[in-house]
Amino acid sequence: MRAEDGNTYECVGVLLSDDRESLCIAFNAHNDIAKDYIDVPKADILHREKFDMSSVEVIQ
Amino acid sequence: MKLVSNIHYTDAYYISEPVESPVTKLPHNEAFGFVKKGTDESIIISFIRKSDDGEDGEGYGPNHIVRGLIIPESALLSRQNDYLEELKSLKTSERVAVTWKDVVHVANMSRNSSSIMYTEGLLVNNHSDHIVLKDPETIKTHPTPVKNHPPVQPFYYVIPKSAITRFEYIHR
Repeated sequence: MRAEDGNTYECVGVLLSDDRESLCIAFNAHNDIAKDYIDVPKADILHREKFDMSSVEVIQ
Repeated sequence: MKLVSNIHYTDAYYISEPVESPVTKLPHNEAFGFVKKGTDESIIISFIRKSDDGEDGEGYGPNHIVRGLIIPESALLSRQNDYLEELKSLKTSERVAVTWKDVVHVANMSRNSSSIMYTEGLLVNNHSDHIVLKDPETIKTHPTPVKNHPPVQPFYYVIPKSAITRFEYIHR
């Protein structure tokens, strides 16, 4: 995604909402309640990819 | 190699309400991100990372975290019953001093280690995986500068036993 500072960033998380103009992505949950998330305007998204949970390394 | 990680961990917390007997339980937290090792047996998980050097051509240093967490390995859920032998049998209603490792939220900062905290308080509850201190005074001793945490003193602090690196009774 393109940010206001002109740089390109990538973020990863759980899609909380997919509205007409933005995506809300959660990174961190406490007892299943999202605590840390970001709203990304769709206009700033350069690439979007859904990942398979089987490809995710689980650390616990 | 898997690029994305899902980390499950627990964390200390404080209670700012003056309840008489708090019901406490360690939280189950989880996070998604890009993982790398910290320097102090910790895991750095970045939710957001810079993917190029930007228009100005300047990259960040290797320890720069745009947004993420630094999680001591002792906070992992699988480590909850892995704690100091002396914590298995504790005397409540005693003043104690505890040194422990804390999970840190990081935003736009260069950092590669978790925080070290020092808490003094009255030990009111001893559970299998955590202790509860009443009227706790907590300072962050690493990294400097030393700071009170939180700035306003809470009524209780709930600390996972696995996070504790030093425990002592205070005899005054």
